[in-house]
Amino acid sequence: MLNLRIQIAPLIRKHFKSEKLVSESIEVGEKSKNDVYMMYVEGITDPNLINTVRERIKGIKTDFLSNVSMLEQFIEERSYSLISTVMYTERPDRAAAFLAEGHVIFIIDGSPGYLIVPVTFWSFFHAAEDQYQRWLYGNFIRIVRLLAVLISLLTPALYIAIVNFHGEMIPSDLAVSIAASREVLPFPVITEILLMEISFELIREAGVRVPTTIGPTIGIVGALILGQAAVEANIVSPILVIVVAITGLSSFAIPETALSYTIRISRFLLLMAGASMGFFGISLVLIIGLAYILSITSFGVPFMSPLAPHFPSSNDTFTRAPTFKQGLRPSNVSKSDFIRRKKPKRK
Amino acid sequence: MGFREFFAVVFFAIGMKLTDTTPILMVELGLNASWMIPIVSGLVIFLSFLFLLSLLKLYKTKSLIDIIYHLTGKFFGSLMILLLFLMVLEYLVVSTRDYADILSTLFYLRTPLKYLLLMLIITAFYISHKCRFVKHMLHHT
Repeated sequence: MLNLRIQIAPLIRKHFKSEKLVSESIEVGEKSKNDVYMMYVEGITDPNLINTVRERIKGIKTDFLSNVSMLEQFIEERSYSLISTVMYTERPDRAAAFLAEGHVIFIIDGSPGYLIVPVTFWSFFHAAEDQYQRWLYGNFIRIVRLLAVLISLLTPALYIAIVNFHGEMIPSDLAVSIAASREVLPFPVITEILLMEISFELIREAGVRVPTTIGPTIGIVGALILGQAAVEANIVSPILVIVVAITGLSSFAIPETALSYTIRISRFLLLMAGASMGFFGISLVLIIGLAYILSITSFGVPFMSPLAPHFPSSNDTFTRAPTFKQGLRPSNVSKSDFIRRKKPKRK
Repeated sequence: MGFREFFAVVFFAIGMKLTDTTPILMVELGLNASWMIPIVSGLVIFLSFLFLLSLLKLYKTKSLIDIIYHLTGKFFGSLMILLLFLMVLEYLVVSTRDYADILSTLFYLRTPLKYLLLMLIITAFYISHKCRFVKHMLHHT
C-alpha cells in the first residue's frame, strides 16, 4: 500500500504552504479500515461546511472504500441526478487552487485523485489553463468552450426541429438542398440521427476501451469509413454527417468528464423534444433544465452561484478578469472571509 | 431578494405586458391623440409601481400578503388578496391561451391546441414548483 504521507498530501503542501492548512483523518469502512483525509484551510473554509461534510463522511456505511471515486458516490446529494455536484481531479495545482478558495478536498490512501466539494457549474466549466493563460487568451478559450457546450447540446435537436417543423427558417437554397439529399433516403430524420449518434457514442466508447496502439485506427475506421459508407449507401444524408461530426467534435472540447456526460445525455433529451415538438419542445426542455440547475445546491452552495443567485466575487464565470483584479474569493463558498486583498493597484 | 433578482422579475413582467399588447388596436381607438397613450399609461404604471416599492421598503421584513393583512385587517385584507389572486389568475389563463394560440396558428397547424396548452402548463408548474428551493436559497444572500 502506498503511504499517503509520502504520496499525495505533500503535493498539496508543495502548492499551498500555510500553517492554516488542516488535514483531518476519518476512518471509513467496516471490514477494511481506510482513512479518508479531509483537507481545508482554517479561516477561509466555512465551518458549517466542514461540519456537514465531516458528518456525511462519518455516516458512510460500507465494507470497503477503496478510492475517492467511490467516496464521491457515497457523499453526493442527488445520486439519480444528471448533474454531478462533487468534482474529481488528478491535478494537485487545481486542488490547491480550490483549497485557497475555501473548498474542502478529500484524499484516500493509494487513490491518485482529489475530491472537491462543494462545486458549482463553473468548477466544471473552467479548466486550469484558463487561469494560466494570459487574460485575452484565457477568455478566448472560454468563449470557444461555451460555444462547444452550446453546439454539442443543441445541434442535433435544432437540425431535426428545422427539418421536421420549421423548414421556413433556413434560406430556401439550403432547405432545397436538404430536401434533395433526403429524397432518396428510406428512413425518417429521427431514425437517421439516432443511428448516427449511437454509432458515434459507440466509436467513442470503443476508442476508450481499445488498446492505445490501434486507437486512432478505430477512429478512422469508425468515423470516416462508416460515415462515408452510410452516405453512399443512402442510409443517412451528408448534411447529417456534418451535424453529428460537429456535435462530436464539440463534445470533446469540454474539459470535465462530468459536464461532458451531462451534455451528452441531455443532448438525447433535447433531440427527442426537438423531434416531437420542434423549437417549442426544445425551449420547454431548455427552460426546465435551466430551472433545475438553478434550483440545486452542492453542500449548501447554489449550483449556478455566484452568477445566479448573485454573490460578491471576482466574476470568474463565463469569462474572467485579469489576475491582478481578482481580489475577492467567491463568497458563495468562503462565506466568512472572502476578501483576498483590498482594491488592487498596479505599480 | 437583491436588486438583480428583483430587476429580473420586474423586467420580465413589464416585457411580457409590452410584447403581449397590440399597439395597433390602441392607435385605432386613439386616433390623433395616440401619442398620449404611452405617456399616460407609463405614468399610471410607474407611479403605482413606485408606491408599491416604497410600501415594501417600509415593511422590510414582511411580504406583500402580510402587509395587506396588517394594513387593512382580516376581512378587507382577504377581499383584496382574493381580488389580486383573481387578477393574476385571469392574466395567467388568458396569456397561456394566447401563447398556445400563437404557437398553433404560426407553427403547429395540425397539433391539437390542448396538447400545446398541456405542455406549457406542465413546464410552468415544474418551474414554479422548483421556485420553492430558489426562494430558500435567496434568503441566504
